[in-house]
Amino acid sequence: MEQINVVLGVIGSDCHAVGNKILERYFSAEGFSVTNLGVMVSQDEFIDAAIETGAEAILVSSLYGHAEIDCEGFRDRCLERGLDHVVLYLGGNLVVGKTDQTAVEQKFLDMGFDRVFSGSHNELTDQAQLLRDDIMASRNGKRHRAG
Amino acid sequence: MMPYTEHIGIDIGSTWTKGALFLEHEDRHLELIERFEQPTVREDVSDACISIYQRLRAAAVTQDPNIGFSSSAHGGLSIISIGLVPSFTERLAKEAALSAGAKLVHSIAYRISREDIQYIEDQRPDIILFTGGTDGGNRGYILENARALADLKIPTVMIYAGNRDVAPAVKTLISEARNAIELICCDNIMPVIEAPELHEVREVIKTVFMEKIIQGKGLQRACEVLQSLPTPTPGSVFELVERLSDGPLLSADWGLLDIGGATTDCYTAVKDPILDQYEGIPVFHRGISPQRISRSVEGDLGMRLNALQAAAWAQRFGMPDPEGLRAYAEEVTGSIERIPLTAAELVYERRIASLCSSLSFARHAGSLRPIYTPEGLQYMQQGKNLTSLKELVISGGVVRTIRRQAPELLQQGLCEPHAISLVPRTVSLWYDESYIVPLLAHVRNADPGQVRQLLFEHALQKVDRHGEPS
Repeated sequence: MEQINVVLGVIGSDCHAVGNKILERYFSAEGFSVTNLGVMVSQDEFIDAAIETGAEAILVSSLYGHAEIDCEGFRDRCLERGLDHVVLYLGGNLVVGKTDQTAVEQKFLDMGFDRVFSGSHNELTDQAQLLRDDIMASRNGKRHRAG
Repeated sequence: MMPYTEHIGIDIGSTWTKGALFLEHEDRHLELIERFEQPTVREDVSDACISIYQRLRAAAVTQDPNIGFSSSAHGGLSIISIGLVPSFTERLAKEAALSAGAKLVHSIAYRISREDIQYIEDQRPDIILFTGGTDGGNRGYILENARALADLKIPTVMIYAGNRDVAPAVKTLISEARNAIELICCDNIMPVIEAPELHEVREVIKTVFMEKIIQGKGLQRACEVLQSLPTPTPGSVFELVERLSDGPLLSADWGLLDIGGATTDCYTAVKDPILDQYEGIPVFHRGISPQRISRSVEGDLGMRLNALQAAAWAQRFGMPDPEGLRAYAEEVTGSIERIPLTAAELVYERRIASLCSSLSFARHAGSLRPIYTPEGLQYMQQGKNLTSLKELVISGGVVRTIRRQAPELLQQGLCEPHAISLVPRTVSLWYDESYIVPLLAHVRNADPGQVRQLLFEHALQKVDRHGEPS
């Protein structure tokens, strides 16, 4: 199968490493070529790595509740730096407290993420297939937008 | 087996050519037998080299001494490096060029513009080091850049060390265009982000220098007489630092500072370039891992040509009498032979040496930035940890003029406020007064432990202690 490169990491000042390792294993086992940047990754580091590796998707995790401030402007920054077609996923505990998850997800979709997995209820089942489909759609000039 | 072996090492500098004869005894003990120096003749840089060689041969007892020589005359080995992203391949390409001993003329990231091409043509570098992308990674930028480079109108050697998948396409683009580029492809400098690979590129650069560039540098005649091929001076010094830092030899983290008239070179060898924790607080490292052994060059810090640039920092660091220093710096700028004549001038000379040393270390060293996480304070490390550096050899013409007076290493870091600079904390300074570092670099097959001992025997120790940085 053709190689698909993706970049993975935990954004901001967040040092939760366990979920990050699980995601690396999951996506690697599903056939993706994963560059895992680990924890405490800045927006520019994600983008730098995506450019060098020719990544077609950036998978961003955030577990500590500050996703909004860390992710603000991520899509714009990708566009500014020449990543026109990159697929952006975001997942984790995105905000602090009990907030309506649909509203939370919508907020990040509006920010330019293609898919948002909020809360801790997500199991790894069909995300690899979703990602593959979204990357194919992006290659054909179509971007998946749930919102 | 002969009871002993002799080694001849010669270095051609742009002003002086130096040479030495070393004797390696049967028990591998190493001794400096003879040392000569002569001014380099600009029009024929081989001249002084051959004359020194003949004198050393006359002093030698054996018929077949080991011979090695290096040159930094005629601008050394000039390289323009090209990478993709500044924090990844652009940085690695620069690092590879510097550790091979190059004079890095310019570095380009992202797309190469028409102006960049014009600039490359004006600079006429000996080598263009072209990198970018992981294996299987970025293609678009690399191919576009290859197309731009294919139009270069100057004869040059190009080393391609980027994404392996596009190497055949790069080859086609460069070879099918009308140009005078000799293309050499080698392994990717960054096959994956986590594991940079600088070794092969470095070797290829050195081979290119030996085989293709010597002619333009006026070294042909020296090669014929010495029956040997030269290396760029900083390249052989880097190898020396490497040899003396292998395994058990690296008893203490150490460095070598070469303060020249125009530039200051800094080489460091440390066991752990990345900290796990700092004063009990966890440290995270970001970006490409720093190399255990590395070289940096400060093109704006020097004792003569760049004395003014160095002096300009004096005010910023709150040094006394900045006006007097400035006047002295103005006086010596560009006058290589000028030495301090009065006690006051000697103070200025030492101050410039301090600034060159401190600033080059401050730039070579990484930093820790405090990050306040939900788990409390943590540090983010950028660049190389030099806090463990214990010994520093200072080399260069200035060592003689400052007369063993330690250039005081300033602790002011150059990092952002609140960050902690990872410059050395307590260092023993050693002075290479007989300037043997570049010559000892050519003693290749001897026992590295003996080479290390000889180096430190011929240098003079002075301990300089200072407190923790503010």
